[in-house]
Amino acid sequence: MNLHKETRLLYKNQSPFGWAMIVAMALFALLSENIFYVEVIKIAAIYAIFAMSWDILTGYTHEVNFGFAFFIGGAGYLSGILNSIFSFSPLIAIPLAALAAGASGIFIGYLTLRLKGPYFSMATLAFASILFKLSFIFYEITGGEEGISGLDVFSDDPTKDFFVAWAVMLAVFIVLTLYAQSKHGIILKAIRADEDATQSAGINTAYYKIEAFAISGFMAGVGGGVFAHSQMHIGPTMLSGYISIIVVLLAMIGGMGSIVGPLFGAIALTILNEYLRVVEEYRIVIYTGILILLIYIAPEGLFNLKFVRKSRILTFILLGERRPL
Amino acid sequence: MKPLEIDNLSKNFGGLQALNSVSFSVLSGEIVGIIGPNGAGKTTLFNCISGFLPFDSGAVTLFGRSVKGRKPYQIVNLGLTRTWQLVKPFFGMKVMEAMMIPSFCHRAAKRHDSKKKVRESVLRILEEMGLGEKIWEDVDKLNQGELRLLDIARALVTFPKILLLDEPFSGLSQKEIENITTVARRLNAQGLPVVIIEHRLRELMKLIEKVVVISFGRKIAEGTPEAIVKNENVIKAYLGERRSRIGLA
Repeated sequence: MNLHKETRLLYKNQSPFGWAMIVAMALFALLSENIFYVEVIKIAAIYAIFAMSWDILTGYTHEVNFGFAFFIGGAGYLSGILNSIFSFSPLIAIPLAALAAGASGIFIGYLTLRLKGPYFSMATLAFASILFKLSFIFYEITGGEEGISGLDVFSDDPTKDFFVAWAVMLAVFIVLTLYAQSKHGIILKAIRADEDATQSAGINTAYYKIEAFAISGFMAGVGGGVFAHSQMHIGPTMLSGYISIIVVLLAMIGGMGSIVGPLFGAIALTILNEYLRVVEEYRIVIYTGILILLIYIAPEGLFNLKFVRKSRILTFILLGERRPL
Repeated sequence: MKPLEIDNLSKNFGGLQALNSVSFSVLSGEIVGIIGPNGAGKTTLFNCISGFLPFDSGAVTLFGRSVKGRKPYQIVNLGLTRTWQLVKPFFGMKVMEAMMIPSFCHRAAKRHDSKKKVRESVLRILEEMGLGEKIWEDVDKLNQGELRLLDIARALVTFPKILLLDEPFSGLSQKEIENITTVARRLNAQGLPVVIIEHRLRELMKLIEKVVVISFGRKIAEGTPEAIVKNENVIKAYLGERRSRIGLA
């Protein structure tokens, strides 16, 4: 076998399943007459943005970020404030808010650089809690418990609105996949396996960790901004522990460290959650029950199940891996 | 210019003096062994040289440049690469992927003008190590001896001008030790200075030209293997007061 071709096959993977899912969502939105269903897959697309951007840091370095609401809600609020008070258009407000989220990713990444395991998770949790409290203290700007309502929408047409979220999700998917398959992603995986060994390979590990933190924060910021404007509202829930934990669960159940796993997890579980509204009284009970069951069956995520990893066909369809030889 | 010069290096951990004014140097093309009883400070010495631990006083000079205050990755980029007492493989990767990591460092990137060149030199290094057939294997499936060789192979990808091996024989069979010895000898014959920490004296003494003996953070002797095994201080450090034969055949 050819050395160069084989090496490329090692990490240049495109998941057929991931692409099929993205195309299916677009077709569904084009063909569906029911506005409610389109609304559901729009939320699914936004949660997929959150889960994928969480995955690029935590899935690849295994340092669990439990304060993802910091980036999602922080950027959502910032974008909301820029829009409602300074009347910036969402097209300017969202990128600005995302940049701020990315910059704070650099800051938090730098501060938490030496923390590992639970200490890292607690520190990220603390940052999110600070922002959550601040949103109540500065209620004149943030609207306190009510949040900020009446934000500008992208479009009055729900289908067009969906396609904004869908396009952002597609862009995030492509960028993160390319990033994960570049030398940056491989180095992050090496840091996960052994940070000292990576340093003694001449790699500035601190730089790559902070970079991953910044990209993760920026992408989550884009997602948070899109969420705020497509809902026309941003409230303290998006800064709360609830949203942080949901993102962790969606990504973990899908399968950390693969980008496409969290994409699938977020879309499948969000649709399931909405579908369960037919039994509204028991919805939360059933939904949480299913999440617990899934964590029990597949602690490393559905895409990392043993039988998936052992089957050549399944690893190709789900993850796009073409094992050499 | 000496590849590595260590001048009065000291390091304290609280009240414990792990290294106390250690000085020695490594000359071009030399293969040096560092020995000493457990807890003598050998690994601390390596950690200070390679930037993983800051030292308190003294100087470490690498080809005329001080390493003080430099980060481990910067020292690798100056041309000093180390391996670890416990193997540090990148589990979950293929051998090829693991070998790509050091090729991303500044020093290696500067010396390869294309990705193809990187892959070719990775393959060449693996073949020289006898790991050529394992290139597409999962790192998790290699045995202890192969993991050791992979650690050294990864170190070589960074184009070191001096190589530090921390207990390369530990946990290996006689056959595997011979493999590592052959590799170390060949690298040294190509002009690469090698410094080895080792407990398996019998095998080490056959390989090296110069020995530095450390005990309780102090250098107690330096010389050829033949002279060292007869040195009173060394025998005392290893075996206590009663005179006995140490492990040299």
